[in-house]
Formats: sequence, structure tokens, C-alpha cells
Amino acid sequence: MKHPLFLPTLLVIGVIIGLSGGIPEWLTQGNLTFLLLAALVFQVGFGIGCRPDARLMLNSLRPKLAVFPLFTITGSLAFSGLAFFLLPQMAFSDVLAVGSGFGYYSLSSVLIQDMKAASAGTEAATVLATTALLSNILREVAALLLCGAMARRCKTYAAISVAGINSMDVCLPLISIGQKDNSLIPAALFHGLVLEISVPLLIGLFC
Amino acid sequence: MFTILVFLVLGIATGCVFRHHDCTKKTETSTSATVALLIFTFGLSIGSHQEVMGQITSLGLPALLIALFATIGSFLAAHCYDRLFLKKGGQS
Repeated sequence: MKHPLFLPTLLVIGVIIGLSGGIPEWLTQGNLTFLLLAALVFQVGFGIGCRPDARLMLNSLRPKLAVFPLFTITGSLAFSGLAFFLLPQMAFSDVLAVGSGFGYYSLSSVLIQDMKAASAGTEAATVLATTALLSNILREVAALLLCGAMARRCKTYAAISVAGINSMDVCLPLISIGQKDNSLIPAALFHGLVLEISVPLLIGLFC
Repeated sequence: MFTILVFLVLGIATGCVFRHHDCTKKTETSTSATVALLIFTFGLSIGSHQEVMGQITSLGLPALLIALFATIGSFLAAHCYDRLFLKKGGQS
């Protein structure tokens, strides 16, 4: 399941089966999606709460580093908002909702699909969710390509910020290689955790 | 939205209760499985909507622009953080 192509392959298989027709509504529009989403969000929270190193991480975190995730959130949203002027077909809140994924393509897309469906209908919600999926996949690819190079050029905090939510997992080795500052790993982990919590909050706000 | 946030908070609280048990690996496995199921059902949803499939090619540009701008915004935000809080650029 950790293979980078596993989820995209599963998505494509789902699309192909969906194209074949005859998919019962309860599979795509009913409570099943909501239940899976609730289960995922619960497990995300559980994973954060049960981290054995959470207290150690918080104790080793310098106060200045605690505000760093807010810079990433503000910068990402502010510039995502600028993209709105090039996308007249999209509502401003929709652009911000997509920008609130921070590279977490699986959770952000299904959250948008669930939360947007109530106000805009299933089709519009699925379109926006697909945009979020594609955008956050691209963002994760950009993170993988850029953050290692940035970290090697001593732009470590830029590497963490560009990595988004991936600063706590797939990008962490790229960010921390060769770094002598021991506070970087807790900073990257804390940054990823704060962004992970902010994804449902911000998407809920904008949807 | 409120319901989702309740599940998030409940999850964090439950995780705190179990933090002395080694739950990390099991949580990662179950989370991965749930993500896989969600992505698969999301794929079914995309494929079963003819109208969405018809718009797939037109979604690429908005997705690219938002990803590009958000990435640039993250980079510039980190640059501002460097200037405001760190003594030398990029390192503390």
C-alpha cells in the first residue's frame, strides 16, 4: 500500500469500473462515503493523539517554530486566492477549498465531495473534488521534486513549507538529510500535524 | 462539517488515551486501508458521472494553476518567516 502508484492505480480502476455503469447509488452517493470519511478522520486524529513522541516533540519545539505552520497556511491560501483571477469559472471559496489540501489529495478530495454536495449538488461537488485531487497530487509531486534541493541549499524552512503535509512523512527524509539542526525534525513533524488538522477545518470553512 | 470535526477531536482524544500502547503501526495500516477504500469509491463516483468525465480534461489547468500558486505561496511564506524570526536566511 506504500507504493507511490498504488492509490493512483486504485483510482483509475475505480473510474474504469464506474464507467462500465450499473454502480448502485449507495456506493457513490449514500452514507458509505460519509462513514468511510468519518472513519478516516477519526483515525487521523487517533494517529495524532497516540503518537508516543508527541509530548517530546512539543517539549523540544521552540516557540518561534510553533507559528511556522501558520505561515505556510497563510501563504498557500493567499496565493491560491490569486489563482482565482486566472480561473473565472471557479468561485473564490472553491479555489481556496482546493488550496486547503496542502498536498493531502485523498482526504481533501473526499472532504470536498462530501461537504460541497449538500450546497451544490453531487455533480458539482465531484467536479470540484476531482480538481482538488489533481491539484494536490501535483502539489505532492512538486514537493517531492523540490524540497530535497531546497534543503541541500540551506533553505530548510522553505523545504518544509513547500512539502506541506508531506513534511511529516514522505518528504521528511529529503528535508533532514545532512542537516545538523536537531530542531528541524520536530519542526517538520509539527508542521505536518498542524496542516493535517487544518485540512478539514479549512475545507469545512470554504465549502 | 461539524460532524467531521467531532470525529477528528474524538480521534485525537481516543488516541491520547491509548498513547501508552504501541498503536502507531496498526493505525497506519488501518488508515491506509481506509484511504484505499475511499479513493476506490471516489474513482467509482468519478466514472459513474458522465458529466464529470466529460470535464476531466478541462480540470487539469485549474488544478495545475492552484497547485503552482499554492507552492509559490508556501515558498514565499517561508522566506518571510526566515526574515522575521531567523538570524541568518534559511537556518536558525
